[in-house]
Amino acid sequence: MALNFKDNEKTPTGRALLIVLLVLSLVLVATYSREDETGVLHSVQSAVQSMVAPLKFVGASAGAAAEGLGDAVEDFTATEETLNALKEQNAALIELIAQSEEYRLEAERLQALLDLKDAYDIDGVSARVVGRSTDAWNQTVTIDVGSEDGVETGLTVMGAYGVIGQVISTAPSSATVRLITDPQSGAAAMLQATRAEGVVRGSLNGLLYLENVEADVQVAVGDIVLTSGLGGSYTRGLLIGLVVSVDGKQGDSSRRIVVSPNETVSNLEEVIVVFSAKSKGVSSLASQLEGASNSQDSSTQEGGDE
Amino acid sequence: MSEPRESLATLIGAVVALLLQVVVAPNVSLFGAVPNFILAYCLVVAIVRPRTAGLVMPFILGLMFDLMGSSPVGAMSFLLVLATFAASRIFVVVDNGTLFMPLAMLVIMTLVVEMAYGLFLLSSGLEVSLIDAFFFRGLPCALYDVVLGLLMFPIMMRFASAPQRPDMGSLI
Repeated sequence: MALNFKDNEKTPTGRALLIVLLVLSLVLVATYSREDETGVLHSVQSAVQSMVAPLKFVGASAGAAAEGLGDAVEDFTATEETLNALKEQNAALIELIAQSEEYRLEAERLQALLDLKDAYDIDGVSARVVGRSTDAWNQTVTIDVGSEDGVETGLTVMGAYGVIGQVISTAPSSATVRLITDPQSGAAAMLQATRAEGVVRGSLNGLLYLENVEADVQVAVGDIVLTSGLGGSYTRGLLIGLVVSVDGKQGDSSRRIVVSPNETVSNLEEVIVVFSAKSKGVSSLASQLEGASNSQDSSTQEGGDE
Repeated sequence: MSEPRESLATLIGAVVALLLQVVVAPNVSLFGAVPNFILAYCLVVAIVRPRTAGLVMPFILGLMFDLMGSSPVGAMSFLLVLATFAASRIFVVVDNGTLFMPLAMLVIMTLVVEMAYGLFLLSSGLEVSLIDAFFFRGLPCALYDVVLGLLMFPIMMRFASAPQRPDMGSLI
């Protein structure tokens, strides 16, 4: 293979610029790491996130529309001959049905949030998810409420079935929530049955792991996992999920406990930012969550059987 | 195409890549892998215009990427500046006029940048194993970026490719 070394001209200006930009980048990284959430770079980051939030919302809407269009195209090509005659007559009706179905699903989700609010006697503010993380390494969502609505960094955020994450930065009219499934998340947790404490952590593979549980504590599939409130990072007594798998036996210090997350990022649409809550309905929510998981499993099974 | 028009095309491409990163990328993630339009674009520009590709654009795009996300500000700008500089310099040396070299450059550089970005996050407190970081993020994201880069490559070759220098042209 011929190598063109002669063409690789040396440009002193270019190298000086390279060094300047690299040093500047490292200075920014160091400054960012040293400052707290009120620091200049964190504030600029929050401001930029707030500015791009509407664009993310457009993207999410366009994404949903594209998905719908994809389905429509798929249906059209699958049964083109049969549907051609009926399509025009039914177009308006189909649109109406689709819209009604959308409203019905939204009402269901909002009802679930209201039930959750009642169950926990939550003092908080509801919000819509308007954007998702622009990079692969952070599992975050942007919501449409911010410091003007009383949202502060560190507040717990709940979906219809329980805790989904924590506010990590706020702007006047939006906030960024780090999901509990993010590897950088860590929620002090406890098992409802045994009151044994641990830490629930996310992972890159999307699973939640319950760590630091004493080796002699008995853990069974189906056990309810709640926030313990230790360290003050999450409001105490909120449902995180159910234990779905325990690798290892009681007494094994290296056993791995997997907890089912409440929601997946793609399903998140409405959430509640919790200012304060009293846990009085965890069991009913846990059974709802179990029901939801079972129905998801069975639908997946049916899909797989087809 | 004259040099100012090439630069304009590169600038417009940068704005489009930025918009795609904000609007499209979060909605087309596959198994947790979010495509990095900005990385793919910067590398394609470095390959298409190896002698004239600047460093300021990757720096600004990287900075915007960091500011739009929740990671340390400066990490992606550092990596993009370094990667585009290295890619353009190496490509000048190894370019043999086939599609293999741009492809190889894209594969290697995207993988290096994605993993280096992961290392940045690991050093700033992300508690995952290096193996998980590689298999669950680095590799799938890099493959996704390569696909994007291959889509961008012919477009940028058409609109932003630097004209061949007379001496090179005459030799070929």
